[in-house]
Amino acid sequence: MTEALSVDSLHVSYFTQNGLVPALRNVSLSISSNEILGLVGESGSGKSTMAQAVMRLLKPDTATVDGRILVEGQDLYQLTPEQLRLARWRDIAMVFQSSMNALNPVLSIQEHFTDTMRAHLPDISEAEILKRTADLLGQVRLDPAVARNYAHELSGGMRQRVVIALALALDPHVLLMDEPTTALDVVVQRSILDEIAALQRNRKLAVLFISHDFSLVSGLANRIAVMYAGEIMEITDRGMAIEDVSKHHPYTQGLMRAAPRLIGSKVSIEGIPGEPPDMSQVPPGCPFYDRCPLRLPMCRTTPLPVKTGRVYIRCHAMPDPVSGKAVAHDV
Amino acid sequence: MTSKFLVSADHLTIRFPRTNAPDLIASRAVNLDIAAKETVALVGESGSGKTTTGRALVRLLTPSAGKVWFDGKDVTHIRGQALMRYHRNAQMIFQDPFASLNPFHTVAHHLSRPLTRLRHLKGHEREEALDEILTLVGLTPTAIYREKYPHELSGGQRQRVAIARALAGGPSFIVADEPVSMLDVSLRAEILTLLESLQERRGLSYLYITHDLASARYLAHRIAVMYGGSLVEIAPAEDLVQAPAHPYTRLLLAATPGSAHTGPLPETMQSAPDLSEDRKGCPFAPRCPAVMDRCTKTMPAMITVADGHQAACYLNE
Repeated sequence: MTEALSVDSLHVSYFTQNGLVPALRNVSLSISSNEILGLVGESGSGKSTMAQAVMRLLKPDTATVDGRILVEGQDLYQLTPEQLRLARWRDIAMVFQSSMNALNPVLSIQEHFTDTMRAHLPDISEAEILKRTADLLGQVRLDPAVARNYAHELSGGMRQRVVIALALALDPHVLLMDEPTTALDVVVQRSILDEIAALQRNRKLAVLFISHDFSLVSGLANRIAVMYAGEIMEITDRGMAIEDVSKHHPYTQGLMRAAPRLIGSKVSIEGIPGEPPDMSQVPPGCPFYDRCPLRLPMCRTTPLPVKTGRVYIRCHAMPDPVSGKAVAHDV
Repeated sequence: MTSKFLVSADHLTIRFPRTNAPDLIASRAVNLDIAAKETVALVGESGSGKTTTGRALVRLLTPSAGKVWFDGKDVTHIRGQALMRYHRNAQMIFQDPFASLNPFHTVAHHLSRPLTRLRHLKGHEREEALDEILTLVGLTPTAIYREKYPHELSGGQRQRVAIARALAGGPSFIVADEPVSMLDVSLRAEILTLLESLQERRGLSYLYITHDLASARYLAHRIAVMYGGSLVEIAPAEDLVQAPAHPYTRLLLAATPGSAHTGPLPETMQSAPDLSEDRKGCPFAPRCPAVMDRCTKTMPAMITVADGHQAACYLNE
């Protein structure tokens, strides 16, 4: 079976005044249709670079991209500019973080939909456009009359719904969402998340959902990839149940112990001491070495093992979640 | 007024005038008491009046009606020297550590000003006080951090500087307005635990303003919930999370990430509350699944549902 989205050994580095600085290193993951993969990480971990690389939005003079990105089996980086233009939105679409900036203030909502559909379907009739727009707005629980409005006339939650409906305009199979609910109040956020989950089920979408909020993602995603310093440290399907904390990667454990909880008995919290490494001087071994409570001597210099599969932990000190065997041997 | 409370809002009302529309009431007859060494969390959505209420308590805003009491004294309308003396006792930490520090000034400059203006320290004494508060917030070695500019600091370090600045006057009451919402998870925990330890060591009272019920539950002794400018519920933190008595609190709890709630949210429609002066009844009535006739006519008073637990909802009669 072909995965809807598969990312294989992705490396991205930015050109800077200090030479090439890596942003993503050895990233591999795949998403099948009918699932949501959450991508969680802190500021600067490479989450948004990941989204841009997958959409092939990074300009060749800003960054180098190595590795393969397959959408429904086609390699996005082998497409001609015209093929790429058609593949975006039709095969893979993206919802950006700031809905206010994603909508053009001088175009009505309807014009956004019209432009999008015309660019991909030159022969589509006006009546068909209006019908599809009303249908899409209805799917995100908006009154179709919203199409006549401009972005500034809508609330933040309504704008974000418009942006989601717009991303679905050409019925893509893969949807990338970069912090789609971050600026919203919790009640609005929750109702949009419920809609995303329903849309994903109804349309059999493969969703890559990027967020900094571990507890939010664990309520939504089937699997969660945890990113640190440009590398995926772990892909888990366990959610964030506190009783399972020790079964996660040491960095994930740190994140879980740092977050106050709403349910269960009140537990103490602790931060992760230290800071992420300077990406222009990443150490050769595990990037979490300096902050890791479980580190072994080998972790400082031995690169993290390359892993693929639905779930994995990249750690010299942790057993593999599938085989249960310790991967580290004394070196 | 004599009371066991350090800070009190007494029918506190903040009105923002509008032209061609009824005045906007951001904070509507709010009663809130904070005891010495107590943390009260003020929770609610954007526009609920949390920040306005907090700013009025430290007298960055002058109330339109009602009173602010501090340590038994009426500080509602104090000005000039009296207000400056009040700011030794009551300080504020802002949400965005990137915006609240001046990029042209060093850490030492940011901290020297309140030490000079509020505590009238000079020379050697001031330098010692500066090192002391930097040490208190964990920015050591102080000699290095004194000379840093905000852009040389991480978000967590910046928020530590903002906390140090709030501590400089030697306050007993601090309003912390979303102090961790801009920070990464691993740094949030460090700032929350720092606030806890400062409370212990300095005997501080906090009003912790947040939209995040999980961190409110962690940090606060009591949680107060605001909606549409009105205080709708207040209770000991654990009671509020385990046994919410107001339908809005129930909605907020159900929607918060990490809640066990599944299925549709307990609300009838999504809408923003009416903040206008001529609003009648409960601000949550248009969204409330349990709305009754009288809810749209008169705002219920706070009704005691358990010891120290009150909610402004007729369901609790």
